Amino acid sequence: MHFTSESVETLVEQLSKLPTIGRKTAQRLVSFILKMSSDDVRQIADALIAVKERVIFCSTCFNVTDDDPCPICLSDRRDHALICVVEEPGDVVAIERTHMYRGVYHVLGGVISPLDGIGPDDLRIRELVKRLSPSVNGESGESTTAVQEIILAVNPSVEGDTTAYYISQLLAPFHVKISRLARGIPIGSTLEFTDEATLSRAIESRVEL
Amino acid sequence: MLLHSLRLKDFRAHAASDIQFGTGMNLVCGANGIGKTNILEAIHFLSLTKSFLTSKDQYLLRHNAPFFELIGEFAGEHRKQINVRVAFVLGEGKKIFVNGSPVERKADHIGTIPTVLLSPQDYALTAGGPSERRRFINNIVCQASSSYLDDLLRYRRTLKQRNEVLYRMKRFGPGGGEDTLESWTNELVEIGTRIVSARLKFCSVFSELLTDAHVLLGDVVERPSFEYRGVGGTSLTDKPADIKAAFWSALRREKHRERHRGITLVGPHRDEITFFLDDLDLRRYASQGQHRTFGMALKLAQFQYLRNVTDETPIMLLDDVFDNLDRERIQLFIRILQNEGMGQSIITAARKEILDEFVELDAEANKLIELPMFMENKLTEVPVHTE
Repeated sequence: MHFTSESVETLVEQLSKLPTIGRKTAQRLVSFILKMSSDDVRQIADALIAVKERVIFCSTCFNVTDDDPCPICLSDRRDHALICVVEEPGDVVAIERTHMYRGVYHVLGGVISPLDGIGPDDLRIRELVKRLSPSVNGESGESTTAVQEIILAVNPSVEGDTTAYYISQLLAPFHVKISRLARGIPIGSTLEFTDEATLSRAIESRVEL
Repeated sequence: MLLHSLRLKDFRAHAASDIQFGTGMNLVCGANGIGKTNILEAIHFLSLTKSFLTSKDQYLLRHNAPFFELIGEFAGEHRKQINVRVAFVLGEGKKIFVNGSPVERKADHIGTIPTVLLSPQDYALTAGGPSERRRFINNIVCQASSSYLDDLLRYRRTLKQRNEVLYRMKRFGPGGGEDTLESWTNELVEIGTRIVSARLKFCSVFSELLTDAHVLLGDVVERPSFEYRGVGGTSLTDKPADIKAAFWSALRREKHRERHRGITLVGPHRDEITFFLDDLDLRRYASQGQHRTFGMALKLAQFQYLRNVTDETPIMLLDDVFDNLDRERIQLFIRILQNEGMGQSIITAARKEILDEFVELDAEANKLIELPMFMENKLTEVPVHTE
């Protein structure tokens, strides 16, 4: 099925390139866009271009940012001895929402997945090792505390598990504390409605009181 | 578990069928190709979200139909009303609803409606390769524990990833990913160990049940037993730590062969289960009839196992299993099915005479269901207008 307007057809095709958006969703988006005011549409278009032109990766943590280094890496209210390793920039947002974590981050940009052709060199793993090396701290000339703990906050997929193991082996010579996020029952849920796989992992990694 | 009624819409040979079942033995009769087995296939689908004859759901569609629908009204011993509905739409896939609400993960549904199937395909279970027997164990343990299913899926994914690394190393040398191999091996061993220990735990319970089944079938079967040879030669008495150690050392032994071949050669995906009849390897020495009765013993043990762990009496599905059996064995098996505590069974046969002489068919408990049941199933001639 094709539209009589070629512009509409082109936009549908372009929007379908995005993840989770198929042709049908793209068509709905386009018919909505057609009803929007020109100003609103321009704002979306400008935002799309700006995100590509202005956003860069922080040279320390590789999170997305407008300025390098990013505000988190620059902040002196953060504990720079504590690094939380995540897969994607979106994971930083998720952890920041908790307002619980006061350390800094390191964004890997994915996980090791041979089937997708992604190896350690395609991720920011070497850069993480560099952050632990004392020479970096020496270069800055400041008396920054060396890294004391790494929290591996990767997803509990087999790829995430393997990446976490790989990193932990790589960091073993540094003698830093390495931890992983606990797996357990979501808050607001009840035991009754927790699936067995999650529940059995939660029993496995139970905590002493 | 009882199945009260089953509705099939555009499923295999059924355009629209509505079938009521009795609480005991149900005999489904009719000519070849009329759709007897399809009824068992439908019940199997409602229980395990897949057919036992094909892995492709689109093959289950009636010719040229865009979707099929199955509705089963079940009654459990704990939940009085379990209404399972499956809708499959070509190009969109299947959806499962229990009492009207959608099931998000198939794993959550599997085990709700326990069923045990006996079919001519069981021959492959005792006579075929080890993968059939691993699938048999996987199917039962999955129905009993959904964390096992989760581990199985994770193991398959890890295996695929690790094989990719080995393949790349074979093609491109160590630069193909040797640095990550150990991490994948670690994940493989972690999950694989959980799978092997779950299987071993299952086997120790199951072997007792198999002995019990032998007593039931005592007149006609030699003593059945089986042996599970896990990764690195682990056996029933081993603890997880032992399994893990055996797994690692087996991997070390096969290290060079794995790199040479570019695939994972060690793990629960290659474990072997051997069946014995009076200490003779069944696969090699047994006759057709012995295979068949051993298959029955396995299914009876499966029935007991599921009843014990799910606290529900499974529904027995028997597809054409009596056709090649002698009178004595048919009579014995029918008597077992009528035992106290055996619950509901649904049996297909080409001729109703097979059961007539042993079972009193009434409308209440033991019911005769003759196909075809509805006019819709028959092709009617459409008058042609020639204007």
